[in-house]
Amino acid sequence: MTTDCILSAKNIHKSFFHPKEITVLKGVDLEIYPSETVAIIGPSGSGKSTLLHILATLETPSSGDLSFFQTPVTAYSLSNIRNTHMGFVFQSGNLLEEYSLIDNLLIKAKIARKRTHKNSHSYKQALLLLEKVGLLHRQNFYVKYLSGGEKQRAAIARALMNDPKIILADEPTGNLDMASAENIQKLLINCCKEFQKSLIVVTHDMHFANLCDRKLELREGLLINEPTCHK
Amino acid sequence: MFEFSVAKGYLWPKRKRLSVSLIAIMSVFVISLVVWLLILFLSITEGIEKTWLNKLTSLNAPIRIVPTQDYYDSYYYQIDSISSDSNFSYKSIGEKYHSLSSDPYNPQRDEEIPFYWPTLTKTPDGKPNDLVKNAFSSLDSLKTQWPDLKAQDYEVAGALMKLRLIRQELTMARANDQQSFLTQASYLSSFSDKNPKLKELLKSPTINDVNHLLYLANLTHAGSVLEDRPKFITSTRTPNGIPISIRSIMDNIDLKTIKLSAATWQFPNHLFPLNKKFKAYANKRGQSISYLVISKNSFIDCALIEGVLENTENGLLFTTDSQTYHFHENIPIFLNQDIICNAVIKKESLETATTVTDIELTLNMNLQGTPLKGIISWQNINIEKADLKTDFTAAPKTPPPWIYAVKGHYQLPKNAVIAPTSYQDNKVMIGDRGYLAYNAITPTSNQELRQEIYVAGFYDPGIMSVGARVLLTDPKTVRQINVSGQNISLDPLMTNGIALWFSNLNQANLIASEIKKTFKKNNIDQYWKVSTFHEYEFAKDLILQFKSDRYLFMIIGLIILLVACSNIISLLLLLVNDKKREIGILLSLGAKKRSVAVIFGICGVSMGIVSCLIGAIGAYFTLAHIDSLVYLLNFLEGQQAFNAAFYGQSLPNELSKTALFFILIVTPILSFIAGLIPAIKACRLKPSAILRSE
Repeated sequence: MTTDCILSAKNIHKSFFHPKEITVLKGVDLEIYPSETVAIIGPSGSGKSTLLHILATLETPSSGDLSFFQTPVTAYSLSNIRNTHMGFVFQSGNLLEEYSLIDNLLIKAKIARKRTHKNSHSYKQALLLLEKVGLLHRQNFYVKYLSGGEKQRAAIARALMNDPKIILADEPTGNLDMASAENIQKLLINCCKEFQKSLIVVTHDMHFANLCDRKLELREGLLINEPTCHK
Repeated sequence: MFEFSVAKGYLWPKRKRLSVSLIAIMSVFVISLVVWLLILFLSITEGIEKTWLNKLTSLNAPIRIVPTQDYYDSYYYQIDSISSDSNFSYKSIGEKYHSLSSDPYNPQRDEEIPFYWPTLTKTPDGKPNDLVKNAFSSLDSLKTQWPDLKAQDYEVAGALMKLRLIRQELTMARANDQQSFLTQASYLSSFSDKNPKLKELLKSPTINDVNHLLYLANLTHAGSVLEDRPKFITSTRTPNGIPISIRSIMDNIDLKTIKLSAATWQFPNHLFPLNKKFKAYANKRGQSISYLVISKNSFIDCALIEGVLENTENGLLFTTDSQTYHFHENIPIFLNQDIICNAVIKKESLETATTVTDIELTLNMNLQGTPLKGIISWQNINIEKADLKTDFTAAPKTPPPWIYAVKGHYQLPKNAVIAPTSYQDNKVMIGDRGYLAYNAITPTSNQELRQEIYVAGFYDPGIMSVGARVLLTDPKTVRQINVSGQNISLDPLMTNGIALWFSNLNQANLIASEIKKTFKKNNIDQYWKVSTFHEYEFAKDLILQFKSDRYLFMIIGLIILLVACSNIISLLLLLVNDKKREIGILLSLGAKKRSVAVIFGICGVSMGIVSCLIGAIGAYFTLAHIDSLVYLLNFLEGQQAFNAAFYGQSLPNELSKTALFFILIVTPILSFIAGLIPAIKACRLKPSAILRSE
């Protein structure tokens, strides 16, 4: 393990017990480095999303170690890690429908107890990110009035709020048409490169996976081509 | 706090969450309704309790100081029985207070003091310890701390009261006098003119009372000696000392309007202007007319014939379709309905009037569109509206026969008694006369003595069990009855004492303990028992009842409130279910589970606070218009919804601060507790499971 590894998962196992015991992850090892983009591919039901949720601290592994900056995540406040060090992009965007676009971005800052008034750093950051994803003109729109592609762009902007170290994306283009999906994929990769964020993306789309620095396949509960730090 | 902004979003009704919004509105409505009801109920019950306690302590004073057995055994009290200066009779506290000497014993004239009597106690400076004066001066010394402290001695006696109720029964052209009697074993309490709450207790005389007084004044010979022989109503003598006269009544009213009764008032012929025609009906007997009725409307009575009445130079003419009747002499003319009109009393007539019928009035009225003006005498006329004088700035030349005040100081007319309002229910009116019968026991006989009295007013005794039997009369009468021997058995330790009034009833215990301390300092504590209204034998049960009622209502209120607040649980559980996805998103964005719990806690408390405020504001406005509500309830029930004897003339309308405080604290706490259950459920949600299911 090298010192600049952001996220490392070691021997991660995950089993589900209902209705009967199914072991989805059978000892996954993974290390993510700064500004690295990693794609995890695999057939449906292979446990990609489960792995992503474990990496995102949304779910606990049955066994195995998860470390963040070489420190076990149990030493951190998980909510704090999610709020300040991670950003999420879900398949359906998962934006707060009853909030305006800008408020969806600012909620992350609010959770971090940051000031969000118009002159605040968070507000300016939100505007900058909206401009980056091309939605500045829609900042006061309610999310429910946005198109699917716009929602995903907004989700990318929200994920970048609070300046996280790593972005985790779960099938971010799964619900989009090909043209829109391509745009979003490019946007996500470009943003991560520009803002020097690491990216773990779970996808079926090989084209998207090929855009990433590394491509890993989850098969029978194990990650094939176990990566090593190459930078 | 982002929790507030999220909670606000959840609570604000939205069309998208119609079911949740409707349930939220219903929950708020139900809690508001319960809060409204509780505040209203507690405010009214507290108001009633306050009114009752106020009445109780107004009449009986919040603190009473009664002599102990040591006082009655003391030299100070006993010495009067062998002292010639004291007329060999025991003295009341009032008499002791006004007595010039603290030790009336004269060794030259009075018999020897029995050896077993206690000795005269003395003050440190060697003077006789005047237990009464010392007690009053001790009470005076407390006025520096409580300037509104008022002390006065009181005495209670028992006697049989008999009132003779003479009433006039009116029929067309005829008035009959009827009489009945009201007999009751009564308590007589000395009238305490220093009582600062007297004004609240006393009921103002009414116009009906004045009309009754005038009627009685006209019965110049109505006495009470031959009361058992009704036919002598008008031939008995006027009792001496009853200050009811025409002047005493008329000088103390400011007449506004009078009522000319259809049944009895006879229209004077001279009032008809010349050559003016009035529609009228005549009662024909044979060929002649016995009386006329002026009326625009026709009568069902076929015996009356329709015609036109006209005053001519030659007298009155009544013309029908077929015939004209000419009246050379006065014919009885009546009205078919009561007429209320302005009238002014001719002062000259009042100067010389010996009976009410001697009073002359200048009348201004309108009859069938024709204005009439003239002078009439006071016969079968009732006062409709008048201002009665009860407060004077200087002693009136002719005092009214009812209770009145001079510079706020109440004066009881001679031989007057103030009766409890329950007497009014028995149709007793101001002016009704009678007597108090009591026994004078001598070694050889038991003689019944009678003291003439008349009712000069009414007071509200509150809900005291004996209240309906307590008459207020002047202290001399009470003393006289007590001296002659008790007619009704009373506890001698309770019949005489000192009453103490002050405004703040909450300080009763503090003042009582200060009095005890002062009495101890002045060496008179063993002679006096100080008790507050909480300890009064006749009020103890009532006060305990108030207390237990209040606790019971509070508990019931709490349970109702709890049930109402449980609505919040179901609503918020629904909301948690509805907002599952949002909760998952917030948790994935880094919101703490505690924050999610706080969001739903805020929702619960906010609903509680909003409901509380709505309910409290509603209660405030309802109390402000409680009379309208009572009117509506009376209308719906078709009878009086609230018994005036129990609830008072009108329901209390003061917002209870205790109730408000109780509700404003308890409701948010209960709603917070109600919000906790959904909050716990919300923070147990697993974001991964929620987001995966999306």
